[in-house]
This record gives sequence, structure tokens and C-alpha cells, in this order.
Amino acid sequence: MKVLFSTDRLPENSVLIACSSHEERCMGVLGHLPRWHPQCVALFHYTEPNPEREGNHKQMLDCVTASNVPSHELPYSKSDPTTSLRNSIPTLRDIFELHRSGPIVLDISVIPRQHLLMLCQWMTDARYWHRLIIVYSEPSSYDVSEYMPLSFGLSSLQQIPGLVPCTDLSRPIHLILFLGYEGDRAMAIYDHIQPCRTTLMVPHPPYQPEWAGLTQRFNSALIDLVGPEHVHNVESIDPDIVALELQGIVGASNSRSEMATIIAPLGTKPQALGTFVFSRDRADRPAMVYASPLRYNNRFYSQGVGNIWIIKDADR
Amino acid sequence: MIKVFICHAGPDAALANRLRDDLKNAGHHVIVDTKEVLAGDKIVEFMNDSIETADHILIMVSPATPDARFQQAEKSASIMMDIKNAENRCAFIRIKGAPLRPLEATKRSIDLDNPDDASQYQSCLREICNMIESNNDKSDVSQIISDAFKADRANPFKRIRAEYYDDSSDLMAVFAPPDRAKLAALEEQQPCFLEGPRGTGKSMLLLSLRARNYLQKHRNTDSPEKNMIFGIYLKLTPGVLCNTGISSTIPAEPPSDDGLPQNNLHINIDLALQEFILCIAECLIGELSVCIHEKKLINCPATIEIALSMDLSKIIFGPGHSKIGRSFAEINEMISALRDKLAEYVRRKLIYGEQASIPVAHLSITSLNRLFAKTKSHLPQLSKCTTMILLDEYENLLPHQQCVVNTIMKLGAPHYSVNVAKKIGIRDTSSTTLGQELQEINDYRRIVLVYDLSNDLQRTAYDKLLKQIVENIMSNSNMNYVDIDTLLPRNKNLDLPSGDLQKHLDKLLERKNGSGDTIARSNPSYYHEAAMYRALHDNRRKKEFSGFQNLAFLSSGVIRYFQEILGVSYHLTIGDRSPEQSIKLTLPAQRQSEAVHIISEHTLTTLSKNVEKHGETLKFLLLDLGTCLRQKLLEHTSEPEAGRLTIKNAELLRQPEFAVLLSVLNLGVREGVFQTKEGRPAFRPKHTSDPQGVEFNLSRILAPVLEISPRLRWRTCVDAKLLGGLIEPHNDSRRRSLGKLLRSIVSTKTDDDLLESDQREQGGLFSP
Repeated sequence: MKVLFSTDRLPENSVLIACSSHEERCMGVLGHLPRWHPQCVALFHYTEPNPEREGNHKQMLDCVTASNVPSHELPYSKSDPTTSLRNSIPTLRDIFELHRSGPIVLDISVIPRQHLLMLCQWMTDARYWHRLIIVYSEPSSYDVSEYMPLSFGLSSLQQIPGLVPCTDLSRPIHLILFLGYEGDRAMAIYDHIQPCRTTLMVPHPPYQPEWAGLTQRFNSALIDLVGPEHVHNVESIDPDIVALELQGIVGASNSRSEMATIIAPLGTKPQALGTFVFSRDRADRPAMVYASPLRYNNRFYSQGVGNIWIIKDADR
Repeated sequence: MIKVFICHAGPDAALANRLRDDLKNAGHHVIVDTKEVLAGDKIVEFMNDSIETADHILIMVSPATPDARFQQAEKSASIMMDIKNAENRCAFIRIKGAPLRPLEATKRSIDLDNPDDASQYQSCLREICNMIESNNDKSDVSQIISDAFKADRANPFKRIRAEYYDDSSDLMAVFAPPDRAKLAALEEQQPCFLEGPRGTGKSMLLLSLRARNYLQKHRNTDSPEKNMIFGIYLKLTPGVLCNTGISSTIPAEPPSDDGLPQNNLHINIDLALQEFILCIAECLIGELSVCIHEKKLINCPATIEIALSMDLSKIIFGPGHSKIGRSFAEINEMISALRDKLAEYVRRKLIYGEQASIPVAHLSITSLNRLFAKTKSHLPQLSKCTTMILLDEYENLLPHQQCVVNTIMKLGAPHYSVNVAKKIGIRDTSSTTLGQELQEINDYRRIVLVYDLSNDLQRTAYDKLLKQIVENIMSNSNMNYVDIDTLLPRNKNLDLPSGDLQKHLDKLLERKNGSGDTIARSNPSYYHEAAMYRALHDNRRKKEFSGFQNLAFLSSGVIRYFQEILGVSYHLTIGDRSPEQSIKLTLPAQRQSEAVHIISEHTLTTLSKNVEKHGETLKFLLLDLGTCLRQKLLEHTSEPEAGRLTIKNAELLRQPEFAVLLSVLNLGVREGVFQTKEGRPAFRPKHTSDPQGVEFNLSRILAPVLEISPRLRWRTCVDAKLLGGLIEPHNDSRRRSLGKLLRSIVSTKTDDDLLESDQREQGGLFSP
């Protein structure tokens, strides 16, 4: 689903989970706090040094305090995701059980994809998925330079912990690579996986009409290598449509594929969520891999808060 | 890679360094004119070299500029060179409104009134990046390579990936096995480790032994005595244990009665064993399915398939399992479901910290033997075949998973053999779950796939292999092929102004003659290479590389580099057009040389983009080493071609403070940018008691981009501490180390003298 956010759509008895970042849009949903009053806010606080993020984090805490909403901080190290998730589970579980009548609102605007997918898997395993409402804020603009990458180097390329690993790699590999603005990282994934078949997914429509073609420009070398006939335009915001499109590419959910499918969600966060929705009920689940950069380019990044969307609703 | 030289006044050093870091992030090679780089006597050479070789010169003018003597000299020289050569390399950054002189005002300028204002700095940086790229007449090497190897290109030398082996008849046709000794060792019953960096044909060799390929190739063989192989292939991954934060310590305790160590790794090792056997079972069933149903290589009536499936199902899921698979497809579905349960167990137990019971625990090495024995008993065609487990990418495994694979290698005979491909220079373990080491010669053979080109026999074998690959490619593409020298002509003409080469040769010999060196005097070609590089440098020309021998030599014993050079040469020569089959194909010497430089640069630049963790550090270490060796080539009076690096005090590498350096060096070996004479890993001996290797060579493919000679005649001693300084995250310490290393390398003092003087200066590495 994909509907424009309004505070009327969020029940007052909700719990909000959000995270801070150097991007202004981490404030997107929290900015509506005076008009919407959740019962509690859990705020993931990434521990890697980043002064811009710390400024925003303080602002988020101030906003929650000013609205008189109880809050919990959850430290999270991107370099040690499993321990971080394990440590945050007891607090999350306590909050969810204390407010068990209400839905859980998860703001995924700035959450790292690896964290998002691990959290979704835990919420599925712990049977909280049906209570989940997911919201996403677009950036209002991206300060991108064609000659300045958004991130640098490759820190690690790994399967996402906790999800199904690459299965039966005696089969040829089909890589489904969701593209973003980081062409080097996409190329690194392609080079490491060495797939027999590659499908490149370009977010469409872009958030802003003037961004049309940017993803293709940033990934032109890879698109040339793979061939434009293997490029698919795929919905950028609605995870259900992404899941359906993936099903069209890979095949029915109850059959074993002739190829081992590996998905690399470098595209938008709602697309990453779509890959999870697609994979969770399949008999032959695809593996998910993610390439983390050595460091982000904090000089060129998103600015402002654009449209805010509700992209998953709770079962009511 | 675009080379950018930043010229600044002393008080603006902080801003210059900030700019350097940002431009480095954008992928450029940036040099800042800091005195520390060359400390004192080399500053003039440094300035000259930087100005002459830079693609762009960024001159920061500020209120401090008028008093900066060195900057004034650099600025004047840069502008004069631009005027003299009708170039447009200089651009000015005007800080705090500093004025420009009339000649300077003719150049492009970017204003930066307040460097502390983040948005002003950002817009200045963007403008610089745009200017560099828009004035850049060099095409991006990644784009050229993507163009050359585009999916729809008719380029016959298109990158050939082993992953396509099964899908493409082209690959089967162009595959050329290595020399007979290596192939014979691989086909024997004894397990093997196939070692080499990426692109040496490890996967290709394993895939050639896979049943669907091997049986097809040998289906009409007339020699019944030939020992046939039934190979199953698996690419290894950490599986369900991927990155769960579990300990990766190798068990040291003695094993229990069931062959597993009695420590807290017991569960993880058992889990790895269960999962590994499930993977092998899945692989076996997949291979049987392809050989029986798709390729019709094995005769198996439906009734036999049902009986075989049921037997395999009982072994895999245990006799008490509620369901018995009656077809290969059913078993595969059951294995998938079981594997999902394993993944759930791992995340509940190891990530969420919950109590969970392991879903499968009955599989053991005996199960593996039974799987193969049952298969052979149902399929008589396979009864005399050697069953071979072909495992690729061993380096992906966690140590305790390696321990499981080692055990299976050790206990395989006579039921099956195991051939494992792994990258060279990885940190691996020789432990098994039996408490015994996996021993070379007794338990396995090691086949190194990197050819040592300084060894005549290996060079001959490598040349023969490359020629065979080219011949196969040409024949498979129906192209008119005469011989390798017609395809790859060599340009012997240096095209230098007359007398330039001789001038440098005379100079080198004159120095040497003075010292009474009779070898040098009697053999003028002794210094020919160095003299040539010096003459080329004077004329701002790049070294050209062409001809089969040169290209094979530059590929440094790695097939992939050779194939890529040919692929790009072809692309630069023929482009999008299909080759005319009636005309004999020739790739002109100039195109070959351009391709060499493109592949060389691509190999270096992709390190920072594609190689995990220390890839970027490795790239900058190589650039710094290249700077030192280039200076030596251009200035040293007796041993200029010295690309063989020797770490003089290598024992320091075992100390904790050198752990990162050791990792970076090992990574270099794994990625094939460092090689040793024997093609063996340089930094980690097989057994800890063996002497530590200290000498390593820079892969010759990097010589063009680093502007050094690919000939590795003499060695250059480097101090481990200075080498460690080159990977320091702090720029100032890094620059100081580079300056010291440069002085020690270029100096004509002996290495012992230098080390001694450095030790005196610093209190010594070994002094109390």
C-alpha cells in the first residue's frame, strides 16, 4: 500500500519506533508529534561518530520531551548488528507488551537497510508483524554531484544476518540488484557475486521528476555491462507492488527456482521492505546481501523532508 | 585516474589537506606540495615531477601567497608550462578574495571567500570536481571496460567468467586446461587445494570436472581403463551462521569419541557439519537431476529413481522422519524446508538469545559415505567412477566451517575425493575435528595456479596456455587467425628524440664505469630499461607495451589480466563492428598499449571500490610504493629497476601494532597485487615454525599505472615500520613515513647504512 501520511491515520495508542541520522528527514514523522500523541517513542541511536546526526538526535529527543511522550533510547552499532539487535530486543518486547492494544509505528526513513530487514524478521518471528504500521519520508532534495559519490569504499559485503542464507549454490545464481545512486557499490556487489543472470531494478517513478535518469547515470557502467534489456523499472514507494514485481521475475512462491536467487536491496528503503515482503513466505527463499560502505559522504546528502507515506498498515 | 597537484602556501596547509581528502574520495590521485613529503634536498625534484605529471594543478592563492617562496616558484613554473605547451591544466582557488596577477587571471578561478563556511566550501568542491571532469580528456576506465565487455558485444575476448561455464558452449570451447602435471594431480583420488588469486582459472578447472561437463566431454571415450569422475560442484558460503557474531576461534581441545571437540564450539561445529552435509546432498541430487533428466548422461529408469530417492531421503532425514521423498524434486523441497528451520534456529538462539532446539542433528560423515554408496549401488554406470566433491571459494568459510571441510577432506578416501579452490594468501586453518592437522602431501596436494614468470619452465607453460586460449577463442569465433605474433604485433620503435636514450645510458654507464663495474661496462643493455624510462620521463611520454611476450609478461601469470588486455585492445580496434572473418585479425601495437594502461589503472582503482575493508588502504599503499619505486627508477645510480620489495625486519609483522599492515599485505596477496617468486603467500608460512617470507613483488600489471618498470631485477629493502607508517590514518604521519621511505629507497647508501642511521635517529626499532 501507499497512502499519503496524515496524523489521522495513526491511532493515539500507538508506539513509535524511529531512528536519528544526519539526514533532516529523520524528523519527518516526529515533527507531527504535537498533533499526534503516541504512547511511547523508542529511538534507535547509532553509535558510530557523526556530529550532524548527534545534532538531529538531540533535536528529536527535545521534541519528544516537549510533547510529554515517554521515550527509550536504543543504542545500535552498525558494525555489530547482531549484538545490537539482541540488546534492543528486551526493551522493544517490554514496550510492545506494555502497550499491547495499540499498533507499532515504524519510521524507516533513515534506518539502514540491514537493520530494517533484521528488525522486520524479528517482528515476524515474534508475531508483531500484524501490528506494524510503516511510514516513510522522502527527502525533499538530494544534493548529489555526478562526480562525487554518496559513499566511499567497501566495508563489507555480507548476507543479512538472520535471514535465509544463499541456498544451494550448486545452482547458477540470479542476482536481483536494486539500484540507487551509489554505482560503485552496485558494481562491487555484481563483481563479488558473479551471477549467471542479473536483473537490475531502477526505482520508478523518481521522487522528483527532475531526478529522472539519475539512477541510470550513476549506474551506467553496470547497465552497459549487463545490458539494458535486463533493466526493470520498479515502483519506488509501494512495497506490495515491489513484491509483486519480484514474483513476476522469479516465479510462483511455492516452486523451487532453477536458479539460486540473491537480492541486493540498494534502492529505496520501501523497496528493501518490498524484498522482505516478497521473500518471507516463499518455499525457496532468496538470500539477501548488503554492501556497507567504509564511510558516507556527509557533505553531499539529502536535504529537507518531502512527501511522507504510510506504506504498510496494521491488520485491524 | 586523474592526477591533481595542489599548490598552496604554508598557512593554508589545513585547507589544502581537507581538499586533498575530498578529492581523493572522489577517486583522484592527489598530491599536496608539503615539504614533509621529501624533506629538504628532494623538494625541487618533487615540485618538478608533480608539475610535469599532473593532469590538473590547483593553485590556492590567499593573503599568505606573496610570502610563500616555494609556492611562488611552483605557480610561475606551472603557468609557464601551460603557456609553453598550450595547455589548460592550471586553475586558481581564490581564498578570502586574494587578487590574481594578469597572467593568472587568464586561467579559470573559483572563489572561496570563507573556507569555514560549509556551504561555500561544498559549492567550491563541487565546482572543482565538475571542472576536473569536464576538462578531462581521459575516458573513465570503468566505462571503457564496461563498453568493451558489454553483454551484446561481438567481442570474442569478452570477459569470460567461469560462472557461465554450463550455460555457454563458447566457454566449453575456449577452455584450455593448465599443464599436464597440474591436471593429472587434480584428477587423482588425492584431495587438492587449488590456489590462486582471482582470475587464475580455479572455478573453471573445478567446473570442468563437474559431472554434467566431464561426463559429456568423455561420453564417447574409447578407453575403458580411463578412471571416470563423477563430480559435484558447490560454491561455499558461511551458510546460516553468516555473521551471527559467533566465535571464530579454532578448537584446540582434543576431540570426543564422536570426533567433535569438547568445547563451547561443539554446537557450532556440529551445526556447520549438519548444514554442510545437507548442502552436499542438495548438490548431489541437483547433479543427478541434470545428468539424468536434462543431459541424458546417466541412464536411470523411473523406478530406479524412485528407489534411489527414497534411500537418499532416509539417509538425509533419518529413518523416523514423517515423510519420505519419492523424487529428486520432493527431496529438494524437504531440504529447503529443513534449511529454513536451521536459519530460524540460528537467529532465535544466536541473535535473539532465545532457547531453541536444533532441527537436525543426525547427519555425520558416515551419512555422506552412505549417500554416495547408495547412489552408486542404484546407478551401475557410476559404480567405477571416482566421486569428487568440488568446493569453490573456501575463503568464504568461518574457521570452524573450514575445520569441518578439512575433516571431510581427510576422511574422504576411498569413498570420495575433495578438491577445494581457494584464494591464495587467505587466513585459513589446517585443523580438523579429529584433533589432527590436515597435512600437505599426506592428506592433500597443493596446486598453485599463478605462474612464476621468472622460472623458464613455468613461463613456457604459461605462454603455451595463453596461446591455446587465444587459438580456441579465435577458432570458436570463426575468425581468420594466423598466429599470435600476427594478432599481437610488437612496436620496437621507441619514437624518442635521437640521442635522448643514449644520453641517459651514457650517464648511467659513466657512473658505473667510475666504480669499475665490468658487467655494466661490457653490457650496454644492462641499463637500457632504466635509461629508456628516464628518456620517456624527460619527454613526458608513457611506456608502450605491445607484442605477445610483453603482454604475457605484464599479465604476471594471471590469465584474467591477459584476457582483459586482449578484450580491451579488440574493443579499441574494432569497436561495435563485427569482425570481418575473411581478414586476418591484427590488434595494432598502439591499441594494445592503450589497453594495457586501461587494465592497469582499472586493477588499481577497483581495489578501493570492490575490495572489502582494507581495499582503499591497499590502493593508497600501492600508490605510495609506486612513487618510491618510480623515483628510484629515475634517480638511482646503480639499481634502478627494483620492484622486488623485501621487508627487512619482517618479524615485526607478528606484533599486534602491525596487525593492520599484515592484513593489508595479506589482502594484497589474496587480490593478486603482491606476488612472490614461487607464487606462494609471502606473509604466512604453512606452519608457524616455518621461516616467515619477506620478499614480495608488485604484480607487473600495476607497473604501467604506477609508472615503474615491470622488470624486477633488483630488490628494494623496506623497513616494516616505515611501511606501517604508509597506512597510518593520520595524514601527517603518513606523509612523514613516505618522505623517509623515499629517501631510504632513492638514496645510494646501502640499506644497512640507512637502517642504522634511522635507528640512531629514532632510538632504533630494537633499542631498549
